[in-house]
Amino acid sequence: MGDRSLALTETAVSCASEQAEAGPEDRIQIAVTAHFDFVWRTIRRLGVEPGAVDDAAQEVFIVANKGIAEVARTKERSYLFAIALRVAAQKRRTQRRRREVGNHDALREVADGAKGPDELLDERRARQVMDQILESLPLEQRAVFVLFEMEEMTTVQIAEMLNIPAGTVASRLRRSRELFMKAVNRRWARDARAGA
Amino acid sequence: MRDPERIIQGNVNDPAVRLMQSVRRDGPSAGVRQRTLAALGAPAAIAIAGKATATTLLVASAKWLAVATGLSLAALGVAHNVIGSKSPSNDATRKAPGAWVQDKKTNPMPAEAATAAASLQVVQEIAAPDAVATPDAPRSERTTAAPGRPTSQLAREVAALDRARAAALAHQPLRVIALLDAYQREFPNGALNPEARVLRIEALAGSGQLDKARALAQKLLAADPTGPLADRVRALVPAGVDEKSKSGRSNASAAATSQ
Repeated sequence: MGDRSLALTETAVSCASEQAEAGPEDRIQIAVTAHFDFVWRTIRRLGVEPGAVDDAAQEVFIVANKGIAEVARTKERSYLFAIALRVAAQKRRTQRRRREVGNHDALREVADGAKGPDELLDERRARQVMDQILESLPLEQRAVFVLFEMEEMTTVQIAEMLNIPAGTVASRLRRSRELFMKAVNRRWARDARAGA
Repeated sequence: MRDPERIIQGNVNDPAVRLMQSVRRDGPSAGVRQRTLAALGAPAAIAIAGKATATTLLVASAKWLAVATGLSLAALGVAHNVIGSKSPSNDATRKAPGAWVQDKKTNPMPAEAATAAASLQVVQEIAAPDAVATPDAPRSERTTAAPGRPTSQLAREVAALDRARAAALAHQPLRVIALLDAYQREFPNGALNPEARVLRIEALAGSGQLDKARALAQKLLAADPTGPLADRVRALVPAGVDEKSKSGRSNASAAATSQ
């Protein structure tokens, strides 16, 4: 298990005793403390533009505040992830509409600005490239990819969170990794040609 | 079944590994979490205040903001010790490759001060509908925005569902169903749809429409038998709903048309 996953587990354990005695208002506040970073990263990596991530993450908890009292305490993180998927989908729809109207495509700007392999090492640019590649993955595969590769959860943990069989997680992960590697190699080759 | 090695564990010269490393440092600023805590705490403060005036609402919100600032500063201190080193601030400062593992302790105060005004605005927008969401309110069943009402979709969704919850607390299940119908019409793909469905099951059962309640519960459980709301759904309807859900998809789809 990776450091991040371990840290989240430790956080969940440390919050468990508090949650056991917490009322509905306390539960959501404890959930913010324990899971805000996870929700924020999830939203970001599910394709929400950087400038909209803060609001989207906040919306996840505002939505969760309406239902957390009805959620089993052991499933709060799973509940938050499910809401994050919904909110991210809404935000992406809005982004698409805005791009269509404004003819503004940040990702296209990234592609047009390609210079060479060395620039891929630039952190800011690398993040933009990562956004572009993640955007190309189907949502179901992207969710599994993000949880495994970035949140460092195990496939068993992902299966529990998404309520799907472990075999399905494994196949989505395999396929998403294939697509990811192909996209990276394609991008790398193109940048190499541009820099030559 | 053994998990594969993660991409980031590969050769550091591999472009895929470099890409994965570039996003490891992604994370929210402390101020965002602060704003969220403030926005979430406001409704509770207002609920305690009861039928507050606009002035007292503002005072309650401001008080909460002050309390939330103190509480969440403490909470952030705890959280930072546990997970802070894995979730550094998303600032623009460049670091050398690999520097993300170093814990960067930043003073959150400037960000908090800068977001205080924004927090209050969010608090007021989300909280304001609660002040008018009483069972005795005129039964307009409207969920559309009116002058002075919240304008963001989420705020309007929250307000709509809060009205339904208020009716549920007042033991008015038919009014709950009417409000949920209005909610469903206005927000067919709403962010609060799952919560609205659970509320509908509760209202259907409360109004004696047990068959409809059971059918909707079966539909939800068939789609997501171990989901986070599943236990609540099971608690709302008589035992045996799980077994029926396995063979009762056709019945459930009929009930779903009432959604």
